[in-house]
Amino acid sequence: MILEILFIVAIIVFTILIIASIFIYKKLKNNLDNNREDENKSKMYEIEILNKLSDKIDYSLNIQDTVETITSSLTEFIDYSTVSYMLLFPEKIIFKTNIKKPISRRFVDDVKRKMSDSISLILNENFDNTKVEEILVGLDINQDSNELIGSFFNIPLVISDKVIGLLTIADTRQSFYREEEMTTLYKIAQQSTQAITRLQGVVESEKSKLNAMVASMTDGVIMTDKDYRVLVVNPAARKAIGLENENDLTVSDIANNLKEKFDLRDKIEESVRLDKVFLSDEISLPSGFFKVVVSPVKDSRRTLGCVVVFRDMTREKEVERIKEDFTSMIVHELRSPLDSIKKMSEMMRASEVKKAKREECFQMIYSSSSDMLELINNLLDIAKIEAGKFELLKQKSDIKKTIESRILFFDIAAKDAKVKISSCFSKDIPNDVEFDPHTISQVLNNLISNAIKFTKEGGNITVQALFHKKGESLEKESKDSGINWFVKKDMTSIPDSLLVAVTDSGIGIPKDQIDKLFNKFIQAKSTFVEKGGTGLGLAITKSIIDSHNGLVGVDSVEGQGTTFYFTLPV
Amino acid sequence: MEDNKKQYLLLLSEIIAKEAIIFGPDMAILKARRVASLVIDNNGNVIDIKGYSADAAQELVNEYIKLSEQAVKDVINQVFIKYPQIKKVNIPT
Repeated sequence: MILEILFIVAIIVFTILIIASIFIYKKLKNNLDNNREDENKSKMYEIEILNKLSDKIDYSLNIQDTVETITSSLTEFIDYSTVSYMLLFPEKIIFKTNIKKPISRRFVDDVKRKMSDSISLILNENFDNTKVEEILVGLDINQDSNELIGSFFNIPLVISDKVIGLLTIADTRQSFYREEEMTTLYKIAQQSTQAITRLQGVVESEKSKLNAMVASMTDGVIMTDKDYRVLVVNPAARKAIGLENENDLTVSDIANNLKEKFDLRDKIEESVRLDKVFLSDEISLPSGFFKVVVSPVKDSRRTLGCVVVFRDMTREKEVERIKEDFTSMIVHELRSPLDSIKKMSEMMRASEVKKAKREECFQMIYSSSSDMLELINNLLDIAKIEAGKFELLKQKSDIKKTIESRILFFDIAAKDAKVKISSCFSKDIPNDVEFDPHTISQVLNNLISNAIKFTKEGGNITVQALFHKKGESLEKESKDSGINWFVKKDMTSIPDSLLVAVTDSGIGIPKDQIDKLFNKFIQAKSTFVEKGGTGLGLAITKSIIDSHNGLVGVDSVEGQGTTFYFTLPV
Repeated sequence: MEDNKKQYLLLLSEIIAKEAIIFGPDMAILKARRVASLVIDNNGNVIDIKGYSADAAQELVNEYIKLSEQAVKDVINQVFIKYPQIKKVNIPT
């Protein structure tokens, strides 16, 4: 009997246990399913909203667009009374609230205050309420509502490591939001702002490349947006307008500096309004001469702003002036001998001239016409050099013979000028160096005639030559050969060469004039001008030596003398 | 209770209070409760630390850093300045 009772009790207990197990299993399964459903819901929402955002972000880097996309789709995922965002811009702060459930004005003010407290703490600065632009959308404010904020959470919006705003979701119910929901929204906000950051990085990188290009331009460039705010001013533009050290330039600052020279504001407005490129005449600014181009900047649909280019014309102006000076000088050089010829001819025609005087007239006519011919020949040579038609006839030649021949040629002229002319050669000079004896004679003619011209009575002119070996000290080579000149330059690196120098004991050349000597359009000042001459001879000399792949140069000590030298590679 | 632990309780409570302003109290307290060694009341005050205080501080800061590094690091640094006797946790620079 007892056994039977125990058996029945055991069956009952066993049955109860089975029923309880089934019940617990069902409950656990339900919970698990619910959790899975929630998880899936979160995941689906995350994927959906990120897809939406990625579509948007393809076309816009605007954070406000991104936040709008997040807030507009929130109802599908989470319940709330208000969703708000606050975005910080340099000129204003936008506070926008979307009201989904009836709430009071106080609720909105509390949300705004909590957001501004959060931003103030993050940025560690006071919040400027005067800059806040408030936008309310959705339901109207309910005057009768007493509902206060029960729960809320803030999501900081970060672009390029900077907090630029806040997204806040608030509800009237206490402790309403679950951690998973909030975390999903944080994740979405983070991913979307990171995408913007990456895109902005690409844009910034391209922008900095463009800025570097604009900054390195020799033309001055100013760019404005369509509201005439200055976006870019490169260093050349700052220099042109004389505002090199000013920050945050405005169109007015620039226009004021240009004053009556150029009405910049007017031209920018005109250019944008009429969609036309404006080119100014040459204007003179303290930093030089400029032409200003004002042009609208457009994309395929609309005008984006304006670009102003200051084209520096100072160099062109200088070249123009030099050419004018050169032309005047040539005209003068031709007119003087022509004038002499005319006067001599008139004198011979007009009266009985004694035979001796007649000879003198003939000599002067010959001399003047020779000067003119020399000038014309020089001009023709320069023209040939410019056209690349100057030809050399190189042949194995003896430089000593060429030099001696030129000294003989200038012997009479040197005697007339009462200067002594001589030569000096080192022993190791080869006598079969390849050069064009005709053009090298022309070079020597130029150098010797200049030396005679600039050496006072009783002075000396020496034409010297030595064989220079690469790596050797020129000073030592000249000392060993008993040569004395003003060449002090380091020539150790130049290849094996013949070095020829014409040294005089004349007045010397000031250092600041030396660089101008070999320029065909710029004649060295002072004594060169006084003594006459076009300076073309030295320009031709340089071209001839360049054509021989040699070097030409000059060293001088004022009051002591000058050495012109050239090298001919061996 | 050792003095150092008292300091930690104050410091961590202050961090949670600051983060409650930044993220909202619900989020700040929920994240703090993820740190198993912290005992936190409903107002976000840390009332006990079970284990190493320095480890708990690092875990708490990590939770907030995960939410928004840029929004929290300066604030946390400033709180640590007020407690010079407590070793500062690692915060990404």
